[in-house]
Amino acid sequence: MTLQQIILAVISLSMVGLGIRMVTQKQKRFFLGLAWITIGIGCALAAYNPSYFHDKNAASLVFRMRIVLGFLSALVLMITLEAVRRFAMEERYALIWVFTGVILLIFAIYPDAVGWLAALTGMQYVSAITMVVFAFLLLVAFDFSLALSELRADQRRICQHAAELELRIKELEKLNRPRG
Amino acid sequence: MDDILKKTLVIIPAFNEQAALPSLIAEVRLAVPGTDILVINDCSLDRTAAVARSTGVFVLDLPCNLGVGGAVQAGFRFAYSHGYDYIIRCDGDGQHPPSEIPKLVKAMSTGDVDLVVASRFLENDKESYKSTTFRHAGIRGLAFLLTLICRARVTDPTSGFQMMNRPLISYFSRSYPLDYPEPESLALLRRQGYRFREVGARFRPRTTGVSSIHSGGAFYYMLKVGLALAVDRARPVDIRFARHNIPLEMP
Repeated sequence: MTLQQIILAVISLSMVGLGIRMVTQKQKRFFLGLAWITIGIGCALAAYNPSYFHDKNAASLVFRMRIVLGFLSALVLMITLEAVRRFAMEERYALIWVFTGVILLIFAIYPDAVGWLAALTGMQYVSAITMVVFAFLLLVAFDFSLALSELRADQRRICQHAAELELRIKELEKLNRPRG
Repeated sequence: MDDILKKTLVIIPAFNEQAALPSLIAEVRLAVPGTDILVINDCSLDRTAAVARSTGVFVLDLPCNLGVGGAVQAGFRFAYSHGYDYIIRCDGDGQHPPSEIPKLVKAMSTGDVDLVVASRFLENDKESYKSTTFRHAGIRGLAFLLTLICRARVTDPTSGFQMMNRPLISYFSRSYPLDYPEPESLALLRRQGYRFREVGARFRPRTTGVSSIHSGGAFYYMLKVGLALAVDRARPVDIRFARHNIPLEMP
């Protein structure tokens, strides 16, 4: 057994443990727990016999990339939705993240969807995906710049207004100072 | 001239100027007696606001640092909502000598201008203002560019020593550039149909504080102002605030 196999085995067993805990907890998160158990068992199998998945087309780069992409999109979607649920993120900004996650998910499920881009530019699947992801991150960053400028303008207005109100209060206090 | 001064507000944007302010305010009072003075403290780190208050002038104490544009605009808004007809802007670092204010007022009293700018370079007197060659070349280049854009002679595009009337106050209290506002505001007001004129004035070397445009920032300054000028040309004229449409009364 190599060191990599041992590390993978430890990680997979802890994933299974986490899944079991989630399934049996009082506050039940059954399906998420089940997903962790499945992934854990898969990893454990791969640790036990690294060539286990090879006959299931897993050696192909595109297939592995799809797996990674699927996880990535699930992560983006879950974190975004959770943030919205906890009122930590406004829907306006969540929308573009959800859109990014969905696009990633589509590319993970239907690798042909990115085919036109690959055909157009002569890129491989992986580089095409990277380009799409990069484009979306640019979009998100652009959205942030817009929002930031808007906030700066608002902040300027509020700041000026607050200063003027303070000056008015001070002048009124001067007038109304109790005599004697 | 006196009836103009009665309706005039002198605004002094100040950032960390506690040392220079008292003497500057005294000078302003000497130059234009009886005129209201407003000090805008742009969230200084020292006791600028307290020092200004102790001299008895109005003080706008901004709770966060907005930069020159935001600070000056706070003054415009104050003047607009309090019904002043004229604003004289005089920076807190002492570069703008209040003794030159009467020149601005005289030019404004002719009545055919909305903005009077004091220019360091209009008088043929090379001793009056010393600057690094690089900065000087930058200012000259900008002046040339603005002369083309405004179709009127501009010699000192970065001068903040200005006097403006109520229509322009009304426009600027709605839209004013954020940082390094002077060149861009010239192009903006010209596009909206306002008129400006330069008068020669003698500036002083700064007594305290540091320039908002430090040596590394000069390049950024040129880039930012250049971009702003180019983009402004691409914007449509905001007809609501054009010279002939401007609302002079409070909404």
